[in-house]
Amino acid sequence: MDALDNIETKQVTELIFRLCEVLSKQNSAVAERLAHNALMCLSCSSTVSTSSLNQEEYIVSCIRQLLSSQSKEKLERFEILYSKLKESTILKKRDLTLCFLYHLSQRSYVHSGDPVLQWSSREVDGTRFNSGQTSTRTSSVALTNTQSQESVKRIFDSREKRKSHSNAHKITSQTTTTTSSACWSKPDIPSSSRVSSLNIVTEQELLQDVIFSFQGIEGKFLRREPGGLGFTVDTKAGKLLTPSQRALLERLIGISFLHNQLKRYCDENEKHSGTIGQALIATLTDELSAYYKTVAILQASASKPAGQENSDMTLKRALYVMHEHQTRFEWLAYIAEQCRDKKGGAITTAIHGFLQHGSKCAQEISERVLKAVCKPLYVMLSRWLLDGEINDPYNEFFIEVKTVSTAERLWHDKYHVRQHMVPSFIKMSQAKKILATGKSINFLRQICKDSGHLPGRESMQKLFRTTLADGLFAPEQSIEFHATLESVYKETSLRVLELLKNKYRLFEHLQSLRRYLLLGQGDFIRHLLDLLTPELNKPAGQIYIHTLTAILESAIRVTNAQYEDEDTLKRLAVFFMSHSSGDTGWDVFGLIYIVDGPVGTIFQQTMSTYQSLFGALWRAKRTEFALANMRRQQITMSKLFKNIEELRPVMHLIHILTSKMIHFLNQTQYYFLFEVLECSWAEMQNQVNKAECLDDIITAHTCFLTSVQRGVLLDEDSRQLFSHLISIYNFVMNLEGHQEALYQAALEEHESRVAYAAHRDAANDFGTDNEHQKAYLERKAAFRQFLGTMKLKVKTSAQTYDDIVKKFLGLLSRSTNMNLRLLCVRLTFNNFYTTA
Amino acid sequence: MNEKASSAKDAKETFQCLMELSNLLGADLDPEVLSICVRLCEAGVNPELLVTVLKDILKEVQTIRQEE
Repeated sequence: MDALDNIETKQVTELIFRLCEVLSKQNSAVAERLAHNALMCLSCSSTVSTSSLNQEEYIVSCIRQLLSSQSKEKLERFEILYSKLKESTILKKRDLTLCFLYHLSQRSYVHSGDPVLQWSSREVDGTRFNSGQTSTRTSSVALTNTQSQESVKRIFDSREKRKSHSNAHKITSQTTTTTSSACWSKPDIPSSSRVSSLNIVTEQELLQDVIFSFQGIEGKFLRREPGGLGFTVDTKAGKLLTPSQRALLERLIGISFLHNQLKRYCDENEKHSGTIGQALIATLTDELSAYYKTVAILQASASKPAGQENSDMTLKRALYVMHEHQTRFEWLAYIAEQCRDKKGGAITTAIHGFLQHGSKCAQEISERVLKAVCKPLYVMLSRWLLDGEINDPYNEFFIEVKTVSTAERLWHDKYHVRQHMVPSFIKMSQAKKILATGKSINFLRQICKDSGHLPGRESMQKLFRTTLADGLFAPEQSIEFHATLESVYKETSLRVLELLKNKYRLFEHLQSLRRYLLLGQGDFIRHLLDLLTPELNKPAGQIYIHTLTAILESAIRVTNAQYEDEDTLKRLAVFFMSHSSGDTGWDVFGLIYIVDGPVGTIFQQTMSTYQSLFGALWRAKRTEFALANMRRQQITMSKLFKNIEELRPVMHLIHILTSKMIHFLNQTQYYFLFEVLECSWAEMQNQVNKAECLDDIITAHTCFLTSVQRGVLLDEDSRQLFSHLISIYNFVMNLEGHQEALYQAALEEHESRVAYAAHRDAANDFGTDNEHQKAYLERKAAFRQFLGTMKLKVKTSAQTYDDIVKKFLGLLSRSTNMNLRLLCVRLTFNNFYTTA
Repeated sequence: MNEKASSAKDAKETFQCLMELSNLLGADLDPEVLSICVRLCEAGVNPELLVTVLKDILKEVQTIRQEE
């Protein structure tokens, strides 16, 4: 080593001497002095920097820059020469030579000033060179030498090092690109700018901080925002940053903020959210782990030892790498924010809104999230549609179950659509169909005990097997889903209807209700009235239900009702309302028809309506019946009592009043029984035949009942009319009482007259018995008086009756219902009652 | 023999290249001075220092000549 060093030193010295000789034009004295100075100068810092690895590239690029600023031809020429030089084997240290030439040219441009001063100043400080001190001037131009204080002896010590360097260099210089951008990213740029590098924060440090912040950890420069999620640049450490670094940092910590936000959302909602919420969180977690992967790669590439090839990761590059995640995170955070405090179907609705977003990225992400979120929903939906089961522990499904008290209420009350949980991609009508399908399954299984195979399941099962959750919302696939849903709905509903119509004899039940509760079976009702009248005239307290049941049975036996189905007759029963004092049997009596089993679903809740309808119709029937009896009595009376002259004017009054009443009753009964009942019935039959599902039947039946109720004046609007009607009925009953009293009195009178005549005939003397005559006359006077008061009573009641009828007609004519107005016209067709 | 000739030729070409390069860069050096400098570089002398030294020598020589 030493020998080699010596040789080299010697060579250098020789060469310096020769140089000086050449330059000083053979002036040996001068040359010697110059060489001495030169050697002194060289010895103070001569080693080539160890970090001059890429020196050749750097020099070449510097030369290129210099030449390109002068002219293009020069640059081209240089390229040619440089490639030649590279091929040459003679030049061992091409980099040094090039560096020399470059600096020489630089000198000739820059240092044209006063070199003499420099030279002489160096002469003055000559002693300092000897002691090995570095002059500031040389260090400023020397190649990166923080350890430039080297002694003369160690001038060429690093020769070995240099050799290995140059060897490595030869290899790399063939391959490395010489673009200036490659030079930019090198951590140790050999330039004079390095002087200020002491108080500049390096990219590596910042990068490490940024990577920490990506994972939510504070670093040297980045601090957690107090109370917030984001990071801020530390005010103290931030002073060292250049504006561009600060700007880059601020862009990068945006990602950290989004990361923290998403992470917090996941942590907060993980515990208390349902399956759909969990699906959302799982998707977010997936995104986060993909992000962590990228961060890990970033960390790996950032922590490669400096100086190695391609190891450099800069802030800008990090920004680029993280850009995709940033945009995704932005949307995810936004979506997550929209889903906060929501659950189940509401989440799907919130996410579905993003599907229509203009941004491609938002669409893609929301689709991904929506797919995941719809999975649990899809499973629930399939369970519901196929088996009618609900497995929804977190109340997220858009159909909810409630407990019901009776089996009849299952259809009406057990299942409901949760409006706010219906996803926006399922229309309300579709949700109703979904509800009805599952409900039908439950109805068949639980109420009808029909465990048979359900029709149309295969296509549904196949659909659920083959398609994924996106079949719910993706436009193309959802068509198939909805079509299948439609067909399954129809088939299931048909099955329910079929069962109700055939097995459970829906139509027969409807018919029976109409016959017995709405008085459709005339002969039976008539006979029942006949039989019941004596019983029901008693006070309510004295009537026993078993007597009434016996009467009912005998009425059935005698009339056409006996040909009715056994089952129907069994269902028919007497109903007795609770009574208070003063009530007669008429007030509390009622007929009921017991419906249970599956048909109960339709009829059970309407039974009270049937009861009130029966009450109204029964009352009208009874009044009609009473009037008929009165008329009959009147005829017998007119024959029986034709000798009693005094009776005639009263009977005439009663007769007229009865006629009026009969006319009124006939018209109203006709209206009730034909126009209201028959027409509504026909309409309902039409609807029931057309029905597609159980709900249609229920609706038709309810419609029928409401229209009948309105027709017989039982609805809210005609309360006044009905009370007038009741008082008219009461007048009839009143008049019946009067007539009965009259009949009794007349009968007594008649008998006494007959007895008196017989007595007179028996005595056979034409002179009358004073005593008898007196009694007879007294009786006659009393009878006359009775007739007088009766006449007065009938007259006043006829007057009030007319008033009430007029009021009733007035109300009818002002009614909004066209049918009622027509009824009014019929009642006073010849303007007998001139309405005010 | 052949090898030697070729290496000599190579050396000549390389030197011409360097010469042209120095002209291109406006270094303005004698062929002799250039060859010495290249050899110094090859010997591992710090090129920047060498440039400084060379310039200084040139200036010195110039001043001496002016004095004469």
